[in-house]
Amino acid sequence: MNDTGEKQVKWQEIKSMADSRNTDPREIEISLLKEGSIPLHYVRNIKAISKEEQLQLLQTRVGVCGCGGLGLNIINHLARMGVGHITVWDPDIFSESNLNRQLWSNFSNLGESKVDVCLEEIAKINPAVTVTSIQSRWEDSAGDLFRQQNVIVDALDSIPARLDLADACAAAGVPLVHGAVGGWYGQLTVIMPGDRCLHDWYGKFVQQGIENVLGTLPFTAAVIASMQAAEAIKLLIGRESVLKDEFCLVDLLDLSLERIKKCNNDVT
Amino acid sequence: MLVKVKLFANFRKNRFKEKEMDLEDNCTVGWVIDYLKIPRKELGVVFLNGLSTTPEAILHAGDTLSIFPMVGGG
Repeated sequence: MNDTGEKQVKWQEIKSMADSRNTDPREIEISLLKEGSIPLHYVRNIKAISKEEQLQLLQTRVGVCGCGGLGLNIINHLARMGVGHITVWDPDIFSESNLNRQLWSNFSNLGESKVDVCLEEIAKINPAVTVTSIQSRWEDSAGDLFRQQNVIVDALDSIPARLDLADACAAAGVPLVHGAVGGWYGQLTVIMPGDRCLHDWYGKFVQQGIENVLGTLPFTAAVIASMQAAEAIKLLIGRESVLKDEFCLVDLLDLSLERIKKCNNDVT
Repeated sequence: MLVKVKLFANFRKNRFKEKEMDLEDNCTVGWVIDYLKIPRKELGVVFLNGLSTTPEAILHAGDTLSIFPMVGGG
């Protein structure tokens, strides 16, 4: 019990209850939260989000397209927050050039599938989360799987692929949290179905980003990924997000954050 | 005529963050981009008074021009 009389339940107890009832731990956590108890590993979430919102998170699904500098940080946050189901897509294996920025990559797992490593790491962080890991490009299995998601997160690394993803999310009627980085700079926005802002943003000029000349730094990826995770969580629990109407631009060299109004009016 | 020009991310390096530029009448967005030696191949979106624009657009006194690089890494 804590000082407000709420029962806090340790993971070992949750696991035992799941084993004895032959169900998965996520279901036990849902029951506990419904009764007003709090799984101890979420206790620091509560107050920033309510118990009801924690319960809501456990019953939601998020798809993360890309397990690179952005994606792995995003997945880490979503799993620790207690998002119930996470689907991850990436066709690649870890390579040496990933080591400067990609969470969970190390010299021992070079050559291993990124989505397999993801699966192992999430199981260590929060075994209540169920994970669907797909070692291929998201395009190969979008359709029905996209429609099942409450939110999709864009953690891709090319501009044409990002535009295709925005179209696929619009077709599935699922909100998309966009983020991109290059050097010390990054951007993010929330794209509701019907919002064509990404095409407006990327569509008029060339299709090659500054990351090709400025590289990708670990802290830039981590900052933008954290902000994307926060936006995804806000969408999942129904909190307001100003980024439905704006782009957010982050400059870590002069520590500035600017918000630019979107210009289309067709946002649902 | 005076036009406010705002640059973002690496476009600020050796240039400026925000500046009032005194331009000739009928000056275009593309002229400003070229005058500032911003390579067209690095150009992302360009906003004129908060709306997406093209290099051919003509500027007017009091306009605000915002120029962004293309960022697409992950």
